Amino acid sequence: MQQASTAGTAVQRLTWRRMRPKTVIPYLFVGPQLLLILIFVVRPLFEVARLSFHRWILSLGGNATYAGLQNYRELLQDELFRKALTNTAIYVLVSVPASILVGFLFALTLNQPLGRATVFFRSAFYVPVVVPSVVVALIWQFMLNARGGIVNAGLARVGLPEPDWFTNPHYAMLGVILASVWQQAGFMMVLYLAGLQGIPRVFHEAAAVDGANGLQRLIGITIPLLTPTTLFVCVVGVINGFKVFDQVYVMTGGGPANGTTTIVQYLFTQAFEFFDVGRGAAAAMVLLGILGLLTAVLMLIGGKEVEY
Amino acid sequence: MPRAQRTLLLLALGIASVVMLFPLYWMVVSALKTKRELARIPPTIWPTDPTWSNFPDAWNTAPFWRYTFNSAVIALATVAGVLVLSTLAGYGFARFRFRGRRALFACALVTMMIPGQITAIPLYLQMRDLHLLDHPAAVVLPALSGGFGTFLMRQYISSLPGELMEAARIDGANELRVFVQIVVPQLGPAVASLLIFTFMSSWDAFFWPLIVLSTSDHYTLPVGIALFTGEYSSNESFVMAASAIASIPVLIVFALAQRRFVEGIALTGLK
Repeated sequence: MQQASTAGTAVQRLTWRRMRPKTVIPYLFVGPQLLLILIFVVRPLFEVARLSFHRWILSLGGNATYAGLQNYRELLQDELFRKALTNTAIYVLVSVPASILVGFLFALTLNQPLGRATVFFRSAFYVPVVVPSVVVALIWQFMLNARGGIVNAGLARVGLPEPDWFTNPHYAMLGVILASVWQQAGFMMVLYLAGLQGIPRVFHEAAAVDGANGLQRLIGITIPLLTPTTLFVCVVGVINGFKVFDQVYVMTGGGPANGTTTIVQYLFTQAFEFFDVGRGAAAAMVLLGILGLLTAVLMLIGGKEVEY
Repeated sequence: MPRAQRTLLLLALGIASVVMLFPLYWMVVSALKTKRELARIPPTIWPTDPTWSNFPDAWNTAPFWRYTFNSAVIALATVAGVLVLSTLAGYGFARFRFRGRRALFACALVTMMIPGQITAIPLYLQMRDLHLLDHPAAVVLPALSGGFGTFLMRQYISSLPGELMEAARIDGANELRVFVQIVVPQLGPAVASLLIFTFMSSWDAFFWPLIVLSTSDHYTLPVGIALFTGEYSSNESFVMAASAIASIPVLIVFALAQRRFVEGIALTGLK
């Protein structure tokens, strides 16, 4: 075994040495992909920053004119943009923890030795993830219909009030969140299942020998050891949450009374319905800033906790 | 585990799975109802008079053939392009040492985290200048421009033993031949994961196609359905039948390869 791995390293070294540093061959392999990334990601990224400092209404023709911070000033004064920020924050603050919690509970239960039935349950919980999000939105819009929708029929059956889901802004937001949690819980579950399988069995056995019960082991061992998973799930969830668009566009169109307008919805309307390129670009930059900041903060928190 | 506890857990899982599967059940069942039955309050849990006619009716009301065809063409081109580009780049990063390797790879990784929503405005202007608006290529090209495939392939190729490649080189094979005849045949699992991931996200894409596609003839399924249902929202059986039609391909892919789904996502952590 020792010999084999030494031989492996030798070959590896040989492989490395064969590569003359001046050769163009490696660039031929990585070039096409990098070129596309350069044209369709890197350039637009710089371009959106540049455009956010320019005034340009596409439908009026003409060219972009430098406008300094005007777009950002207008953006912050725009009641609708502030509403979009609040709405998106509420959406993220409710839907992300909810889907993480549901996904975690699913994973925890499926991690028990329950035999072959777990394969079925895992698939059942995961199926919503693969359904196209436009379809998810349409199904929930249909189920939450105030007149004759199945959800209200169920609520009426158990004697609860039947809300007017899409005419009340709070309920409309709740509807969008319900659809998102349903769709994303399975995704969180899979990440947690992978995390759970990485916890060595001996930890639990040792704690059981010491007389710790199930709940104590969950709080003392499982949850702390899952910190890296939780951190990752939070980052992915928050980034996806701030990008929310499909459900809102299809289910509510941002209404009623702009109660569900989100940042991306705002960006879409400004840039592609009003053709205000500068304002849209500024909104995109604000979104980029929020995402960068939140990711950094989560990483920092995580960096401290993981050392544990 | 005690028998009672086991039964309790299975019961809880059973209830949870009914809740999770119910929306899909409801979509199919509602698509099978007649207009008259659908108007009943409270709704019937099982259709009293199941009818298939909503499917062909919805199918013929809007150019769904066209939408499905467009979605399929875009998905196929995207999958093929992503596989070729990221296998090449992944091999380049995994097996060669060259100036700027680390920086370029880091660049590919960073772009993976930039959401398409941020770059949508300049991309739109770029597509306009390239005269690609309302053309499938406008949807495909940005979808090919991510670092995820490169990352996945680099990781996988790095884990392969290098002896075979070196032997082929000693036998006088050139780099392209080593790549095509030695490396590519070993990539099965990575290719399968990347293929499924790329197909699913292409089929699901909504935001960007909605922006660049402007005529009904070029709509993909999600765009077509979202705009179609705006027009026919009064006819909910149609909407649910159309939704079911759009879900069938991904549900089939999921049923065939569900293990790979779960494993692939756990490995990469990406949707």
